[in-house]
Amino acid sequence: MSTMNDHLTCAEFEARLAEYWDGDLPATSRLACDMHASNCADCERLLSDVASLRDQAAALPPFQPSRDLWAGIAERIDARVLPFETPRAVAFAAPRRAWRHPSVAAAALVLFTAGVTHMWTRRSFERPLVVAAASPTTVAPLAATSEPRQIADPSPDVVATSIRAPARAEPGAGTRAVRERGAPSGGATRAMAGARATLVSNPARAVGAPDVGGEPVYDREIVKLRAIVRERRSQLDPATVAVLEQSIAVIDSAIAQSRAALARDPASGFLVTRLNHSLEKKVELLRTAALLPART
Amino acid sequence: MVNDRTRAEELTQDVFVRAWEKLELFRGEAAFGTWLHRMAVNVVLNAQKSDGRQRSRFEDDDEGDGIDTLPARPLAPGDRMDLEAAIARLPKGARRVFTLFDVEGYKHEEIAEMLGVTTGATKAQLHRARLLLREALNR
Repeated sequence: MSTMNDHLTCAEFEARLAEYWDGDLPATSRLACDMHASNCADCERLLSDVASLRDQAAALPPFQPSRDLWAGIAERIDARVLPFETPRAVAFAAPRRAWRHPSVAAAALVLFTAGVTHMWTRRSFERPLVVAAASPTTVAPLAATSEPRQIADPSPDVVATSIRAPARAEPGAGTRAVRERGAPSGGATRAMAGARATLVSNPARAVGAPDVGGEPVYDREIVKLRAIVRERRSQLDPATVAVLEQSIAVIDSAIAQSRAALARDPASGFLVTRLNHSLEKKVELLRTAALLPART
Repeated sequence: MVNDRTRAEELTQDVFVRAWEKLELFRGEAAFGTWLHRMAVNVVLNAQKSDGRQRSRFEDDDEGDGIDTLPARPLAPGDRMDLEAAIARLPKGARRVFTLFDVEGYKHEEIAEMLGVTTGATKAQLHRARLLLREALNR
């Protein structure tokens, strides 16, 4: 074993190894390590062994469980899931009196949610708009009137900052292993998320009425849910249906206000957010209604 | 990561139950597999913390200097059983970092965040783990 090769001793070489493997060494130091390794059999073997170790570690197969784990998972989840496509299949033998309480509670919850959404939307329309992420000088506080809000300098940067969908760096490295080991891709969810991001980042499309290019993800969902609720209407208590319709009307009013405001101020990320929020609430409400237990 | 097949299977169940409970928090900003994988790592780390609190008086985590119970065999490429056995015998801190970095493919920054340590610490543990493994497999 050499003790001094190309200005590096074996000890110095070893001291640099961690950075060498991590790619953190400056080019000159890396070159010195390479030169040392090429002239020192022991250090060359060390490099080769660790490279082999890394390759083997990356190629390790995933562990297979020794038994079927699903039964334990299912038991712990223990969630009664109402089949979405066949709501009629769900039957409750409880007498009508017993059924009514949860139904009324659900209706009250729905009304409360819709009311809060509506109030919040209205109030936020009357409040001055502050875009914290943008430079304070670029955004003019809005007057507390019902007039359309104006951004003093709707420069692309300001708009982009305020309307961009929340971006979080995808953990890069973990994906490598996931990819290699065939973990689920979540393609459908990503597609939905992508569509939602489009909706958020493109206010013009968000307010656009016609369904072109698959933009109104919410609209499609709402249409489907509406159909289910309409189909189930006869199964629900009339009082519940009335509350439901009233709540939808409240949310629709909020949606209409957001759309009208957006028509006047299409660059407002705030308005897009409010519109998306209202649409989400509507979807949530319809989904709840679609899953309400049938009247006995 | 946990060095115990039975425990690993229990934690696998925990991961899926937790994923079910937290599904509404998945926003599609990363691939579902990435989200699930990250959740699995967190479940394992939390379980280890919890287990560690119960057993800390009886076990040493990183006190050992290295691996001393492996068979004396030269490094044989493709001999996975030896490598897995060697990884299992690594000190806990080194094993975690080696598994997350070299096996699972996480970056130092991600590992540091998950473990609540600095990237300097994860790099040092990784270096230590690799040298210990090499030494063990070359015996």
